[in-house]
Amino acid sequence: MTGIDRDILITRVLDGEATPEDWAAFRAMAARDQSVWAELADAQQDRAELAGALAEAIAVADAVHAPVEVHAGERFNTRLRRGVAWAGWAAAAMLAVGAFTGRLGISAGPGAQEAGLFPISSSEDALRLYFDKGQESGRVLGELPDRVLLSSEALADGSGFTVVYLRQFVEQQQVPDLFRLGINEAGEQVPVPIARPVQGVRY
Amino acid sequence: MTDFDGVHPEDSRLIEAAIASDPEALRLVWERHRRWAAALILAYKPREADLEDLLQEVAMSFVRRVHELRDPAAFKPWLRSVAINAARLSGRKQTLAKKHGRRLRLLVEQDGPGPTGPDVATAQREEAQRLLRLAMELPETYREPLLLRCMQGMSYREIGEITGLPESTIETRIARGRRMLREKAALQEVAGREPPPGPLGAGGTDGDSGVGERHERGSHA
Repeated sequence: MTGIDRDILITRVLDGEATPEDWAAFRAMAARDQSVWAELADAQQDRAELAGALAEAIAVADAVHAPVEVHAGERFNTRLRRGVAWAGWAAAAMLAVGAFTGRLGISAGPGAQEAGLFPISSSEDALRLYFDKGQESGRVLGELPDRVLLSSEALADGSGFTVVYLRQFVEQQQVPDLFRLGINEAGEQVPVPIARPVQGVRY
Repeated sequence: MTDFDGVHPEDSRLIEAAIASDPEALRLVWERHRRWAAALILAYKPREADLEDLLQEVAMSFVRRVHELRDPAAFKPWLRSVAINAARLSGRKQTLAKKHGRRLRLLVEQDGPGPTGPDVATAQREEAQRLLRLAMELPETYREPLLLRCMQGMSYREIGEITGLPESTIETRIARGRRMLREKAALQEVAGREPPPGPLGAGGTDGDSGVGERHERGSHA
């Protein structure tokens, strides 16, 4: 048996990974050379001491927690930053396409004057229903006349353009809390709760 | 949020939920795996780096980046590489101020009152720490599996999952590592001198006085 075979056998016995065959081989080896038992005892002591020292050294790990809340806050801030960046870019790219809608000021939305039931067969129908129901409940105030152009591309046949744009609807609702954007000490944007509302004051 | 109260879900299920950014799963997975991550940092970090600081970094990377994993089976090797990278990079990030702070702390500790007399428990503890310092001097190849094996209940198979090595390789490296450690300890006893302090963490023994030589241990080298 080579030195490394002997070491592996002792290691298996020590670590509780020895098979019945390993144990038989170990006993046969110990019958030939009794120093194996002393070697096993030493290895056992080494292992216990090392495990104890390691446990002590890494005990600090139990006090290190996964910063889940910080991470959630960061993700919120990232979304917020993306939103702000997007809004900034969109404002810069704003192009009045009033001629497209033909309305000025807040409009009551397409077909706001049309009442009654009608089947929903298109997105325009669905939008009309949204305006009707929203205005009934007071949730929907109208649509801003300007549309924000995001991109335009000439059609292959030269008959016109494909335009991608934003439409902006104005809604209102009552909320128990209001937040404003503040900057923390790390220079990051964070939501800051506004004090309890005072009647008649606009925030 | 998934409710993991009162159950002990399979590691893979839990890791899957953590990858999906479930906050409770993130907490539980970290608690299950942080100790071996700490052992790995200890095995790879430079002596002057602080274990707790590095583990905080790893915890942050864990919650920030675990969602990038596609396969829960890749989690352990991934966390291993995060821990080892943090440990290795720390050598470059040490600030002068921190080094000065640590040096000052050591001076204060050395000036403070020492042990009042020989104490068996203290001697045993120092002996164990001396052995750990010697283990830190082993080549990385042997140091890592040897320390992981010292973690309670970590089998060759589990060490293989973390390191990506076959169990037989782990077994051989642990056996060789133990042999090398025993030889180092025996050599030191013969030389009758304390080695230079190794890369222990925050709970380590920098500034150790060298008390507690190994007693009545034969060399089988």
